[in-house]
Amino acid sequence: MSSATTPKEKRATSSWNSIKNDLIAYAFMAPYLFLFIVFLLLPAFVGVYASFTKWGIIGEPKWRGLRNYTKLLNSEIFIESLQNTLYFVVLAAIPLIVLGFLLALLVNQKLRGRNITRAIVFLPHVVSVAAVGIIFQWILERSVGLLNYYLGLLGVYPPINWLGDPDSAMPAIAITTIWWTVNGNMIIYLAGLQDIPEDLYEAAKIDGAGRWQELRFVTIPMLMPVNAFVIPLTVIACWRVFGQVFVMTRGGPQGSTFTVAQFIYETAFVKFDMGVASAAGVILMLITLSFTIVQLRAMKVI
Amino acid sequence: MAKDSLLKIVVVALAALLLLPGAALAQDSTAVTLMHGWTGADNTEMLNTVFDRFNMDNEDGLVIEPTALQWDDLFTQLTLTAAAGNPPDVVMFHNTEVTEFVRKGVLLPVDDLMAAAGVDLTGVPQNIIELSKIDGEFYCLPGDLHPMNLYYNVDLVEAAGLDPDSPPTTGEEFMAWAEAMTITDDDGVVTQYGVDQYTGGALGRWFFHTLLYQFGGSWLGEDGLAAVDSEAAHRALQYMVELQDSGVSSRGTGFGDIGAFDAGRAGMIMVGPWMVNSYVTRGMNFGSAVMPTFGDVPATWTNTHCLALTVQDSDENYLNSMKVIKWFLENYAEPGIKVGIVPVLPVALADPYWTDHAYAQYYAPFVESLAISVMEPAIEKYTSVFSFGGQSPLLRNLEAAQAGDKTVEEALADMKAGIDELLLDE
Repeated sequence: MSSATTPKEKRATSSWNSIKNDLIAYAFMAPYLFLFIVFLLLPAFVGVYASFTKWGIIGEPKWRGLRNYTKLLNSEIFIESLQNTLYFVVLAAIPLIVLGFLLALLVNQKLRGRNITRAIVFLPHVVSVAAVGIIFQWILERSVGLLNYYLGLLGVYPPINWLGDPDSAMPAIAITTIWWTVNGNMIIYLAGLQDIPEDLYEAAKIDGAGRWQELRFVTIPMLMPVNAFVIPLTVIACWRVFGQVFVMTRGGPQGSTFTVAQFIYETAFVKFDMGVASAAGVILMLITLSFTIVQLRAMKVI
Repeated sequence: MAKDSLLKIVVVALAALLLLPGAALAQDSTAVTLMHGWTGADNTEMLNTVFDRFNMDNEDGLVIEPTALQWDDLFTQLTLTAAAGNPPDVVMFHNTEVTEFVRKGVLLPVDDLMAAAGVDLTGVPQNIIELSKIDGEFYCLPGDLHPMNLYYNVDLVEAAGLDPDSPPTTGEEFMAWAEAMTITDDDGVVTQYGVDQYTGGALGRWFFHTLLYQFGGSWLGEDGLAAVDSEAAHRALQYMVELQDSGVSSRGTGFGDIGAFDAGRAGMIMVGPWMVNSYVTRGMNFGSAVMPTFGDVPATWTNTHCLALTVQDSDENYLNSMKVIKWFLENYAEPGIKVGIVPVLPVALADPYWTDHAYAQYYAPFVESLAISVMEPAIEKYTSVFSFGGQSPLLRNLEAAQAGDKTVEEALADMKAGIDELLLDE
């Protein structure tokens, strides 16, 4: 005699299966979540608390209320670091996104040597920031640098003091950053391009679309989810620029490349003023969060 | 045998295997942890061979366990490990940072331990002895000085018709050499610079320091605030501006490893003794000389490496740590030669390794210049005021004046305001 399952029992079984699936999923996520909570989330909360204190790492934090924030908002150097970082975001983020997309289109073509081209374009991405910084210091050096040597052959004189002139230092760092990281965006766009169903292009062709119209009416709209990922991440990464500046200019000349991340680093680990550094970190987080929300709203993702 | 029992035996055996070497080490030797900032593959490796020699030779069963960090990272790590209650036993850094870490409660006064270990500083110049004391007590024992001096490319000097055996000793002679070695082609393009002089970074700051003291100035006034608005500071910065404007200078940024002098495209550079090894390794034909006197009195920038003990929860390893310091100070000749620093202990300076070494000729002017060497003030906020970072009002204003973006007066007034703000910041 077969036992009949009542609807109530079926619901119970289904509910248990759902919980079991959730538990399995959480078990897979647990190692990452543990590291995320211990090394990112909890320190972030401690950072927010520290931003309201005076704390030199050694000793106990002392409550200061909003004084760190008012100090920052009245600090010319902090405001200058915000302006410099915004300038860097404008200089670097747009090319990183546009060039990343164009490079992806290029290496997505069915051309001979495509795989080698992809590898070559991606190669800078695996170089450490310290190595990138030193290489570009040599290239951009005023008196014996490679770039000025070739510009000199073209008649450009006197040599440009790329990293020593406040007007050219930040663009030089932006160019370095673009060379180094544009390939990361390229890979993501490439994956997005390869996910676009071929029949959409075929349908477009049947409708008489040319290459430009395919790009405009098929490729770009289909890459919107990728854009929703790439654009905020690129902008956030630009707001957090640190390594290249630290290696190449230390924020100079005359503070022209001094960014918020460097302000936070110096305040925390040179001046050991963790309270002010944490407050600057909170402000940076709020700025990047605002940018991200505005971007995602504009793209109608949220 | 049950599967569980077998598993327990395996686990216990593995644990024993892992712990036994440590137990053996704990039984036969005592570790002395040491943090230092002599990084770069060659320096760290060389220092490790020196430590290995100590580990093999000492009869007290002491073992040095070194950690090499970049200088900036060292200050951070020292603070963090001290905050966590686990600092290294010994730290090797600069005298200029000692006050800051003493005020933080990280460093230990060591007069009694010096006596117990038999550390003898007899013969070390009194000004260096005084640098090692705070409120009359020893905190950091000096190992070396590394003053800034003049290097010149012998080939370029000779090509300019100058005598490499008579390097410049005054500002006028220096400028004559710089002009003679500056070469311009038919199109007016400078193809070789007289001097590789940086506008910012460490070399810019140290040259300003040198000039400041040569013109009779100092960083701080009697009120403890910045004295960089003085006549001496004005003359020092004015000299730097005129040097940059004269067309003989490469106008480097002060950051990066490769400059015009290194590439054989500048006749002179002013930097410390740590470049001797590098220039020899590159096969450069170079000479070194005492810093010329540009101002009224001879003076040059220097700093010193020193060794200090950190405050620990237990005092059981203090004497062992002091024995390590004593041995290291007395055996400073090899690190001195290989790192490019001048030992201050007479016993190290008399070591045949130092006196008979092929590099001794290059170090001789550095030993000679110890008498005119001046350190930056070892104030409590040294790392903030004398930072190489982008916030530094010192570097910002040096660079602005040399770039012509501020007058000398404006730059010095802003520099003073910025440094005072750092000094007064609670």
